[in-house]
Amino acid sequence: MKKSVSSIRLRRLAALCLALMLALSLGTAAWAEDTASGADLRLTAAEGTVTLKNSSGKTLSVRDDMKLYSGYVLSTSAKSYAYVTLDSTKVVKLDASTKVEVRKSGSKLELLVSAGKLFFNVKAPLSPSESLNIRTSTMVTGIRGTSGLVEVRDGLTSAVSIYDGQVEVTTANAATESGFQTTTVAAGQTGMSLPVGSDSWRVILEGLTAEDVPGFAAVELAKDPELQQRIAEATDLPVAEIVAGAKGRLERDEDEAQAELDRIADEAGGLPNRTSQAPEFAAPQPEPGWTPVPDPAPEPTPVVDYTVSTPITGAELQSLLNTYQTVTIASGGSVTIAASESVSVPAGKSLTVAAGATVTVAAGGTLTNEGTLTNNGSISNEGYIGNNGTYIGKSPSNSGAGSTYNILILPEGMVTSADGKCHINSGTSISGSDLKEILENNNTSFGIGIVVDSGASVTIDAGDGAVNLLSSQTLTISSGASLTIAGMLNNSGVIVNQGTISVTGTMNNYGSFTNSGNFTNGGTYANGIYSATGAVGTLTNEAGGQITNDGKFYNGQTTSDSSVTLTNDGTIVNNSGKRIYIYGITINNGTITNFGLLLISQSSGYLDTTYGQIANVDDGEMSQLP
Amino acid sequence: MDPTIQIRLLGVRGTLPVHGGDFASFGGGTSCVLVWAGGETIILDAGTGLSGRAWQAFHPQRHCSMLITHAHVDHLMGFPPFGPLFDPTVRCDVYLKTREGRSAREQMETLMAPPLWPVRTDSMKADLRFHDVPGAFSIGPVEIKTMESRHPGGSTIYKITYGGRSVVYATDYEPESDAPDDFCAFAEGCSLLLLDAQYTSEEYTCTRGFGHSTIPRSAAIAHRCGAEQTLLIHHDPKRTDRHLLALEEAVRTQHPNVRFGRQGEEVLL
Ligand SMILES: [Zn+2]
Ligand SMILES: [Zn+2]
Repeated sequence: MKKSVSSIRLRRLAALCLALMLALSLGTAAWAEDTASGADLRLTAAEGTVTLKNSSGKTLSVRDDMKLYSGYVLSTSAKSYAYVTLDSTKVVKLDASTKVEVRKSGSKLELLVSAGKLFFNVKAPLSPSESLNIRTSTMVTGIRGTSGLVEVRDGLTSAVSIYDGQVEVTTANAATESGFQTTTVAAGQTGMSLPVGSDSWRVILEGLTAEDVPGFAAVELAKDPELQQRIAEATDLPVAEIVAGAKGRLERDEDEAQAELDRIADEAGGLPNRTSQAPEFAAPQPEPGWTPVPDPAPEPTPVVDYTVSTPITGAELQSLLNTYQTVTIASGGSVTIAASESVSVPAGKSLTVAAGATVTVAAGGTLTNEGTLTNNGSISNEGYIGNNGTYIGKSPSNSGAGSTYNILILPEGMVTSADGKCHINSGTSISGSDLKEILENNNTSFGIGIVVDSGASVTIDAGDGAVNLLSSQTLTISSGASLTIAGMLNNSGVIVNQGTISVTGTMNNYGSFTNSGNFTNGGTYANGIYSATGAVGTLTNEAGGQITNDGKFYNGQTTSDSSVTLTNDGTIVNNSGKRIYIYGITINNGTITNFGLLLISQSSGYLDTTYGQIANVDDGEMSQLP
Repeated sequence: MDPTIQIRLLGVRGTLPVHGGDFASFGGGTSCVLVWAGGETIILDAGTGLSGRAWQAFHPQRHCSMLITHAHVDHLMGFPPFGPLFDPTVRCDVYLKTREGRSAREQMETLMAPPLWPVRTDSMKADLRFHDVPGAFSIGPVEIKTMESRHPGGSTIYKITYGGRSVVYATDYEPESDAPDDFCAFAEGCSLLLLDAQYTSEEYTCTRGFGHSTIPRSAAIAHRCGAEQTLLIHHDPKRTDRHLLALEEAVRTQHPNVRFGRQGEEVLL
């Protein structure tokens, strides 16, 4: 019960904050792609267990001195620390049990702290074009040439302590005209943001004492005489004492953290899911929602962009789209369009789903795009997504029954039509690698139908790698269209040929292949079995269909393939000197004209030509071997 | 004469014969492959797969040639009780490379002599002729080429060519890489490759030097040498059907023409 109340409270806060007009200078899709300009941000060292995930949530292996890209999330476990540097004069250290997301655009850098503590030491002032913000859910600290500590205490309270220099801290404040307020925190002070009502935060200033410098920061002080001097000059802090006690303090902090974890583990002992809790989430506070907070130096220009960093509803999104030119769902933000909701991106407006952000269209919900919809994050569709405008980026994933999938990321010359299938338009040539991209990068769990329209062609070259058609996928070659396989095609789905298929490479059929057009094999064609899954290749040559073998043609490749099936109601021609191997079931109701060899395994092959005819011409021969 | 080569796998298990329901699909008999080409019956290795009547159903010839890779018992145990060798109307040419100064017959007699076995080779009624293994030779119209394997004590890799088609039999082979130049040149473009794949990569960390390949390594080699079809053999005795099926599927998603050999399976080339 308690948990749901607090999440409702966070939701309400988030909704209220949306009403504020808050400009974010870095709030657009620029985050999604790291630009080449600006110095590299690097994870210079990691101690203990440090986890790194990229913007799609994939865990990356941590190496010293590895480059960090926008959207990366660093988490430290107990007794573990990580160092992040922009260059030799700008160092940030993550305390144990700390989680930070990195956002970088050119020389603008932002660190989003969702839990734990960060020590920062910026020795040389930033140039005017540079910025370094440390953002928590309740405040933004702009750093220019400072050392100190940012700490997330819980979802609603964070604090910044300044060891030397000073910072501007910005918090949301509904009472002011701009919607936010700025507070200066000077050396020797701690600025703590405390919630006032449900939509504002106030910064309380307190004097900093030696006791406020945690062990993980104290040990950094101890390493840096130059920093010690700066702090001694800027504050009354007993620097020598802090330095002398640094190691002891660190050990004490680690012991206390361990005791706290043990306590939580004991408390959680009765809960069934105890072991599934990662240590960094075992802290008592809930995962804070990101509340929009302005940059310390807001742009005076009119606000046309809005960035969402919290969970919102479809109705809230629609209201934002009505008000702003561009709405960006930033990493950590999410939209849920419920069954009763219908959201439209108006013509001329943009909705961007950034990396790390999610949009969910529930069953019965609708999202239509009349403007520009850019998806670099994740859109999952159980309802309806329609596109009448411009759709850029990743395709939505369809998971619900009755979903439409008329948005697929397709190469030029391909469209999705009302039949829900991707059509390769007349006059278009698609390569095997394009085909692979459509099959592999578009939603495959729900099925993809590809139709090669009359006048269009697909060519799979050896260099394209194997093209795999999965069981939920279909490929139709229309009359007047062509598929050339010079490389490899493995079919576990459905292929329907009404046009021309020509194999000079390899085609393996573990699914269903129906031919009513022209199928010429000059390479290797095999009806085969995927034994572990039980998938069995079936080739049906319909009346009017023409199969010509000018290579190796297998109905089964060993006696283990006794259940593959070839049914011929049309015409099969086996050229001189060529072989058709029969290990499986072969039903001939049409005509087989054989100039070569029909090789039938006596152990497993079966040929029934009761209703058809086999004409052996010239040296044509049928041979049944044991 | 029919230019087709017929191959029947009589035993694909490595090291030790196994039996029981867990091994029914891939079989428990150790190394033995029957090849029929150009009217010749060729038996590759004489492991326990040679037992029973499997060989008779293939082609009841009066003459057969046995190409033995090496004298490890999993490749030999089918020989002493092999019925046709007690038939005076049968002739059998046995090829086994002289190793460590011991001829083919001497190697066979270390097994076929008391106390290990009561019957010596000279008590067999068939016309039994032992041969050392030359680099290349022919059996009737069938050409045989050989290559030395990497295996403790040595082993022979055979390539059988007839009518423009070829089978390479490379069991008990530990390749030094995923692309061993000598082997890839030897097997290049063969119609059927029968290749050792006893271990998984994980097992190989403990079995390196035992003289056997791994499944991913052998799949890579099969692809590398352009074999039209590959059947991986010498399955580890602890590998159950279920495990083999799962491993086979994993391999075939990458290499559709690479499968695991099953006892009793036949291929026509
Ligand atoms: Zn062996
Ligand atoms: Zn051996």
